[in-house]
Formats: sequence, structure tokens, C-alpha cells
Amino acid sequence: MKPEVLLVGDSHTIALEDGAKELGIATEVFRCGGAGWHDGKFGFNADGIVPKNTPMGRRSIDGIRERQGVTNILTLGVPVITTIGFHLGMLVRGLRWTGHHVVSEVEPMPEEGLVASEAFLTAYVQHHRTQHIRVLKRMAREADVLVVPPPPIGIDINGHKAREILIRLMRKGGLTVFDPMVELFADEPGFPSRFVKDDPNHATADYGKVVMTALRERQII
Amino acid sequence: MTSGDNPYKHIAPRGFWRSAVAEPGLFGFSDLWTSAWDLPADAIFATFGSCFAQHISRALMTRKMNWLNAEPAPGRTPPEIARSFNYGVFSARTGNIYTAAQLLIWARLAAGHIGPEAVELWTDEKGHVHDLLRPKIEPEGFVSEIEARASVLSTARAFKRCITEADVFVFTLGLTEGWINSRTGQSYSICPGTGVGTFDPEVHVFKNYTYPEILRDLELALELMWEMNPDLKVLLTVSPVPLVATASGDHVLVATQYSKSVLRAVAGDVARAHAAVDYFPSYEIIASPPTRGTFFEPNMRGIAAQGVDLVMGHFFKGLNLTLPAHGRTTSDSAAREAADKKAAEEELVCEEMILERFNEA
Repeated sequence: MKPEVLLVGDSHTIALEDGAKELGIATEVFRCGGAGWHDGKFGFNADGIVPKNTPMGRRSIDGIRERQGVTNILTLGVPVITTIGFHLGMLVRGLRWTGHHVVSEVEPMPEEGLVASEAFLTAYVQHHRTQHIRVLKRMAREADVLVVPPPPIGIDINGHKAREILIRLMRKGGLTVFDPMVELFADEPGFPSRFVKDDPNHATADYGKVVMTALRERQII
Repeated sequence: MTSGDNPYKHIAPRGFWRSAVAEPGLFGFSDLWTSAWDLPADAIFATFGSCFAQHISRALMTRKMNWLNAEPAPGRTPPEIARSFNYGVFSARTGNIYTAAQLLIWARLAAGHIGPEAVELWTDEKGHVHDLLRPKIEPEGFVSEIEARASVLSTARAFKRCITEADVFVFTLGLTEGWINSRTGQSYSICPGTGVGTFDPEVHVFKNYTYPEILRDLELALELMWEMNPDLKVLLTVSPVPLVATASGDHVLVATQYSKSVLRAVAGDVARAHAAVDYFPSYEIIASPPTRGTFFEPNMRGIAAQGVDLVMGHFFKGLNLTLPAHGRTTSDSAAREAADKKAAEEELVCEEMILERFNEA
């Protein structure tokens, strides 16, 4: 069965997949672990986006190719919703090693640790996500790509700021980003706890349903 | 002392110009400096001061000695980004500390006698904020005054760690000339208007610190540092790098010689006055007449790598690291382990979630 949407990304695509299922939206999902995405174990060639040295990713993409009869999964002719590039816990892990944190409204003058400036974090994020943004831009030449940043849960202040910076960098790079925190939850003080799974780093299927509903209403999918 | 005897008959060859300088030649100087202290084999060094102090930082790192980096770049920072944000240059991100007056400000910040609000800020036309104690610490400045002050406070904490955790605090005196705010007394790292800040002749005043003023500021800074760590040893050096420019009205060569002479005299006297202070002659190795300016680059200002190597060779040769290692380390591996553990737990959750998707049972 031809899908209506192709989901590409990490474990955060699960909520979107489950939400789509509840809405009766057919999906295909190319998914591998956030660590693999973070470590750049993927590339882009004539076959579109491809995993590198990740058995999980290989298994996932081979399944889609077999079911859909394509080599390049981006040629399915359906919108691509992706969480690639985030994996924020891993992205900002280096700051935790040294006790760095960015300044926040909650804690404008930290009493311990080291302060990393927003300019520094921007340069840092840009360096570690150059490959991701480049591949996303190449994907966007072959399909309608929509980046849906995972909700900011289970991450520290550095992760929150890195998420904000990454969204800015992606938009600056010409990518279309649908940030549920702005589009759907702007009136909430933070990500609604009713949508947080027990694990507690991921969102629920209900959250996925809310996102997919919004995308459908806005005729993005 | 017998008849015909005199004190010079008992002086070692290093005390005579012919045997110590003229005959051995530039590369044959020996016993130029011997550390005043016996240090533990794993002695911890912190380095600050004018730009020449960076060479000492680098040499200590190259030799894999215990160089304290109390404000390192976050993990996984590529070297070019670390460099552009001035990480790893000195033991904390103070930027160049050119004068004793600036050292005193950092000591007061570290001791909590003044807060980050005491440091003057300047906002450029793009809205970026710069702190005038470290005007070039961030390539584009800070996003807000709050961030700028938080960063000063963070560096002050790191600077304090350098005082409380180091065995030896190496400080290179660079300049006597500086600029101050006539209303607040703020000492500037560089003249406002030269890249950062806006020069206001009503407010910004040239100051050529005199011997008594430098001696006073240095003594006050050391007093504060010893209050925080009574065991701290201080190694003073004087940068051999000449002034880029002088605002004194003198010829820059004359101004340079004045500056370096005053700094050298202060360093010598402070070292003589305190058992916990020593002087290392980097200035003499590069800039004294017997070197014939050999180690200056063609602009007669920059120092060639060979000169730095020679300086550091004497430094390491003169160090006395004979005491048993104290076993203290300069790296905070606990924070890294905790961060890795948390990340590993998060990764495990993510991987398990994905793998469960393949479970068709």
C-alpha cells in the first residue's frame, strides 16, 4: 500500500507514526537510533538518503524499498516528515562534560558551573549539524520535506537552547520547519505533561495525533 | 676571609659575564634560572598575563604537564571554534591581562569583593554586548548584558579555581600603559574605540602606571590570592614583546624600554620580598643585548618560535619537580562520567523503543 506520509528520523518518529495510525494515515517509516543520526551514520547519494554502518537503519530502509518497489525512498511522491538533526541529549552532551550551561531566564546568573554563550552554542550546533542540514536540503530537492522538531522533553537548558538554535539554522538554510511548540502549544507554559510518556523522554501517540491532525488541517500532508 | 681574598673570589662562574654569557654564547647559557621552590612531580600550573603568557600555557600542554584549564571549551568543541572563543589560551577565559591593575580586578572578582556589575559593558551597533575587561573574548560579543555579566562571573569562578587549586600561578606582566574611566576607575584592557567601545575624551584617560602603582596593585592582588590559598606560589615573568604603540608621547622604543624596565623592577622586588614569589627571566632571554635581537621577527616585535623554545627550555630545566606527586588532577572526569551515563541511559531508552517496533509478536 502506498503511504500518505514518509517518516524519517529517530525514536521521536514513533509518536508521529502512532498518531498517524490512529487517524488512519498510512505511513512508511525509515527510522534508526538517535545515536546513529547524531554520529552522522548516514549519507546521501543516487539512492537518496541512506544509512551507514547501522544494521537497524539498513533493515528499516530495505523494508521500505521492498514493500514500495523503489530504491530511493524519497521518490515515493509523498511528503516527508523528519526529526533528523535533533537528538539533543547527544548534541549537548559535551557541555555537560565540562559543566557548561547557557544563560536562561530561569537562571540568569548561575551560581556554579561555567557559562557558554549563545554565540558559542550556535557555532557548536552549526559545526555538529552541518552534515544533517546539508542532507536535509538535498532531500528537500527530491521531496516535500517538513522538519518536525521533537518536543523539548527530557532535555536540560542547553538542549532547549540548542533546539531553538537548530530550528533557526534550518530555517536559515531554507528548510521548512513545523515546530509544535510554536504552532500548537504557544499558549502553554511548556510542553503539556499530558503528552509525555513514562520513559520520560518521548511524547505519546496522542501528541502524534495532535500534530498529524494539525498538518492535515493545514494541508501539509 | 684571608688577606687578598674578596667576595668575588667565591662567586660561581654564572656570576661572571665572561664565563656565563660571553664565552658560552646565546645557546650555551646555563643555570640561568633555578626554581626557588621544590615542587611536587605533578605540580599544577595556572597561566595568565599578557600575550606572551600564551606560550607558557602551550609549552606546559605540549609537555603534558599539569596545566590547569579551569574554563575549558565544552567537550567536542572543534579546535577552530575553541580558539575563536578564546578557550584554552589561559587557565581561565580572562583574555590578556596586561597590567597589574587588571590582575587586581580579577583577584577582587574571584574573592567576591566586587561583582560582575563592576565591569563596564559596551553595546555595539548590532546590539551585541562586549565586556571591556575582555573586549575580544567573544568574536561577536554577547547577546545580552545578562549573558555578558554571567560570563564574567563564570570566568571569575574559574579564575578563583586557578588560585585555590594551582601549585604555581604564572603571571606575565605586559604593559605599564593603559586606559581608565575617569569617573568609575574602570581599567580597560584596550583603549575604548580601538575595535571595541567608543572613545570619549572626557571619560577615557590614558594612564601610564608608575612603579609604585604597579607594585601596590600587584601586592594587593597577591594578598587577595594568598587569602584564598596561602600555599600558592607565584612565578612572575615580563613579556619581552615590545609595545605596538604608545600614547605616552614618547618614541615607542623609549616607551617600550621604560615599560619593560619598570615591570622588570617591580617583578624583581616583589620576588625578593616574598618567599612565595619567584621571577623567571623570559624577558632577558629574548630581549637582553647578548641575544642581538636574534629571536625577534623581522618587524622586531613578534617572537620567533625558536626564541620561545629557548625560553621554555630554560623554564623546564630550572623547574625542580622533586617532591612526591600529590596525586591531584586538573581534569574533572566525574562530570564527564555522569554526563556519559545520563546520555547512555537516554540512548538505551531510544534504542529499545525502536527495537520494540520490530517486535511483531
